[in-house]
Amino acid sequence: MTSADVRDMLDLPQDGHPRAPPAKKQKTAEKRPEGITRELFALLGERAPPVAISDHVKYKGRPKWTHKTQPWEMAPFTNPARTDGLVLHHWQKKIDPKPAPVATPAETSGSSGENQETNPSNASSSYYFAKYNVTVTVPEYTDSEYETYLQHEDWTKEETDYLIDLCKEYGLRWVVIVDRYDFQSSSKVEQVDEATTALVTEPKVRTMEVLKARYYGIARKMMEVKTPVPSMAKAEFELYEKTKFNASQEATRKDMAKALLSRSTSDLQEEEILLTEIRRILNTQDKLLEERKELYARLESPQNTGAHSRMYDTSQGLNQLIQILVASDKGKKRRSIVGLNGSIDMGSSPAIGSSGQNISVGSYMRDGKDTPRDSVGGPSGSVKKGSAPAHSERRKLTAQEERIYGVTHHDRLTSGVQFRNDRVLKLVQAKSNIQAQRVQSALAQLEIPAKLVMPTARVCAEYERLVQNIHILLDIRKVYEKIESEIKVLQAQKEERERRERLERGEPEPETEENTKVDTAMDVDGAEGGRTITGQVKEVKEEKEEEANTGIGGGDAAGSLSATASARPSSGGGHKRSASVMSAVSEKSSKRQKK
Amino acid sequence: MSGVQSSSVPPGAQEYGGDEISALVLDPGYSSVRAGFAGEDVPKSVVPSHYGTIGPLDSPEVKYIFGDNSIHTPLPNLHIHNPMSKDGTVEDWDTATKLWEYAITSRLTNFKASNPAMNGLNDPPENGGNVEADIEASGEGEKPLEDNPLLMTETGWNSGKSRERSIEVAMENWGCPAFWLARNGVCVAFAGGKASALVVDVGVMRSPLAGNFISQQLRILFSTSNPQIPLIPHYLVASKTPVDAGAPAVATYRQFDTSIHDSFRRLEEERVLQEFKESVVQVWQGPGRLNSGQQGTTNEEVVKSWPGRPFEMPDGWNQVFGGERFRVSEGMWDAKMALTDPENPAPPQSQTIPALIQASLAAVDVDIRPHLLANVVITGGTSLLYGFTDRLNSELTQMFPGPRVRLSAPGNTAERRFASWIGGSILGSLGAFHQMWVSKKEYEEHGAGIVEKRCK
Repeated sequence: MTSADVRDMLDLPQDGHPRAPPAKKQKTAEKRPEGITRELFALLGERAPPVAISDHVKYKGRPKWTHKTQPWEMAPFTNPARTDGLVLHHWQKKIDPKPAPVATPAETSGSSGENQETNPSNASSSYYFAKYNVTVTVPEYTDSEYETYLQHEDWTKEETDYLIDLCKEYGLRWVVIVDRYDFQSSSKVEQVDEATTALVTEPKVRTMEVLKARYYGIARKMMEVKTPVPSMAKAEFELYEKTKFNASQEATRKDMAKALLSRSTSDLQEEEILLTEIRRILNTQDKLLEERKELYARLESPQNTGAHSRMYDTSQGLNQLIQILVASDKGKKRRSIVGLNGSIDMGSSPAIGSSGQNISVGSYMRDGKDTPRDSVGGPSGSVKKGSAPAHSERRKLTAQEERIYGVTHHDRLTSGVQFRNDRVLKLVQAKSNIQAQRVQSALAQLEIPAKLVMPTARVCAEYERLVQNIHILLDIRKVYEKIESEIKVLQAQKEERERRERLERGEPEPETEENTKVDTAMDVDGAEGGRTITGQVKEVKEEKEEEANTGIGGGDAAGSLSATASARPSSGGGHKRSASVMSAVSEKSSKRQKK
Repeated sequence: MSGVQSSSVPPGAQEYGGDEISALVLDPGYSSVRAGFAGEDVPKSVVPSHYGTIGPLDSPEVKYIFGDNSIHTPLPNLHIHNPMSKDGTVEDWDTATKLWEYAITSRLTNFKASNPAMNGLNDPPENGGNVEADIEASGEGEKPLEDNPLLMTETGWNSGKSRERSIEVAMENWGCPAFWLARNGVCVAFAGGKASALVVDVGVMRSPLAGNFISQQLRILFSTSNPQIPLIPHYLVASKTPVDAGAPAVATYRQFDTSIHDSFRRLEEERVLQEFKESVVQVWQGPGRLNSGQQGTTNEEVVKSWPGRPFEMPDGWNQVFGGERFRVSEGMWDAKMALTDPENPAPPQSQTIPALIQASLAAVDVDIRPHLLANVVITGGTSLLYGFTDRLNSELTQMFPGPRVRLSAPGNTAERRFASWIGGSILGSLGAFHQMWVSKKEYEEHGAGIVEKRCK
């Protein structure tokens, strides 16, 4: 194989020509730079560092002054911001009259010296600092405008003028205005002069709020007069909106500011403590919420909905899978199942146990709550309790320990994870809407929150029991009401019949006394009726139990329900006061919850 | 400021809004008169307000002696006066005018380089009266300030009459082309770089506490301590020999043929006290007051256990001062702690520094109180006492725990002492300020009353 063939294969050009330019470049790079001796360059070797070496250091030379020193002169200038033409003097560069003066900021204070001497006012029209002569614009009004728009019972025109003048003078710096406000009405002064009595009229003390209210009132009014509100431009309207001034609100604000300023050290400390407390609470709340969110998100993540794996979720499915695998394995010559085993069963040596057992390991199963604990305990993967004789040597937890660790045993488990809280909520919401509302109102009466504060297993169980009891109670109540109404109807019928019989017998109507007697009898009857009702309730309950037993067919849950329901008549002192008993029970349970 | 100007490149407009027109700034006070060119950072001419006279006051041949170099020479018949009252306003306008003129012309405008014998600097100390002749020589024909606008400071409580008087002096006597009268509180705020600030000026003026209060406390301390501490000024001591601490002084005293006036001795004693204040007196820096404290002991006792500070009087008497050095300054904060004697009763509690600050804050609108507390500018020589700012800070934070209290106290002693002059210097060199001056033309049109209208 020649090099040409290789080149052909690698799609390289046929000959070495393209390589020539780099070589050339290298040559130029190796060229000895100027100012370095050949011997020294030889010492540097082939790859000289990329440092520019020069034999002479260039110092910065003397600056070459191309122009003469600039003469400065004490030049007069006037300030256009002044009206009296005061001429002051300052130093500035003397500019030759020949070239056109360059208007730099430093020179704008006065142009050429020659011009200035002849005509200083003209030259200094561009005095740099004159532009800082700014004044505020205050509302202006004529006498007639004042008469029509700005009358105020507390203000004379004279005093208003004085206020506006002050505002202009001090640029609306209200602190200063209030300090300098010292209005003396000329008429009053005259009066005082004339009157020989020592009566001196007390000058009105105007607070800042009063002054501001008056000023902004005037400004607002004059803006309205100038341009009606609807036809105002946007900027103008914004300004107009700003002239709203609420004196009383401002006064209250200042009072509050005063109070804020005069807080004592202990107040401050308390405030600080409260603030840190709030911050802490908010932080923990945020953290809690975040954690909860994260937890929910983790639960709600797609639960491997693939149809293939769903099939093998249960132990039966797994068994099935193993059967299939084993069957297919048998069909093959090689014993690949061992390798498969190893890959599936993490941490256990493939030799231990039958392959079937290992594959049924619950590490893939999400349904058993106790599985993780088991898997921790087990030396080789985890196997359902009791199902693997290999792990019989593992320590059995006592009943108490199981309670402490929250280990529970289930015959069957629903797939997926759920919160106890959710389960509890489901309990409440399961029935019809009206029923659910009733249950909730009953819970509210018992002051048990709809969402349990601390849904431990025991509390949940108690809660479940409570809700079931409430259901029963509600059922009983319903039946009771039904029977009561029936009794009433029957009684009414009976009375009617008796009356008719009496009428047929021709007996007169019983007197009113008898009526009252009947009423009392009715009362007694009512009491007795209550008893009878309880009896009936018992019956009803038994019926219900039968129904439940027959209907559900001895399901465990139903069984426990019936157990509690049947336990009740024996434990409770009769159903007459079932509601109060219920509340007693629920109180207990709520106490437990609190614990 | 002047450093910036020395460059040949004028400062850019955006970095410095200054435009110097060689205005003069004059800041008179009870202890000294500060004068200098606007735009500089320290006054070039600082002259004590005390001046001496020789000869009968009313007669025309009375001789005035101005300046640090001259007034401390013990001359026969030398009387020491002060044209200012203790609250910083002018009492004796005629002499005050002469004094200010001396402060300006001796160093600033009429400096005659050609004649060093006449410029007042090379005068032999024995006859400090030559200056007078100098002033008279430049007197009538030309007025000393014809080229320079003058910015003067005044106290906030200056009367209208004396304000008018000051513009008259500037315009008529000195021929200023323009004049302005600025309140020194405002100037201090400007010197601190603040547009509005709470100024705590602990100088010599106004309050019964300020300045001389400490001197007075020291005099009481010296006279009541056992044995009495002698207060001998320097000029009385011819020679001294070292003695042990607390032992009576061994010194030869100078004898004068003619009696030296008491006012001179008083001035010289003040100088010794000044030295004592600078080197020994200290302020308890807080927290709490001197007579309060934790764990059963007062701060005063704590302070007594601290190492003392020695001080040697001019005659060689010396002593180490322990707790007393804190005690003399405590009256500024707590009137009950002030040292008293029959002539000097304790100041009212409402005149202590914290009470004064509280009162002035209560007088302004509530909205700017936090701003003022965040901008407290401290000035005045007495505020240089060791521990003063710490104490003020602790008192203020204790009084106002809510708002942020921030003190602005320049560490540079010159800046602390001359803050109002520096503020005036800043103001007078601002380009935008030149529209504010009251010009000579305006003065001629409207009379002296214009100062009331314009400078408010």
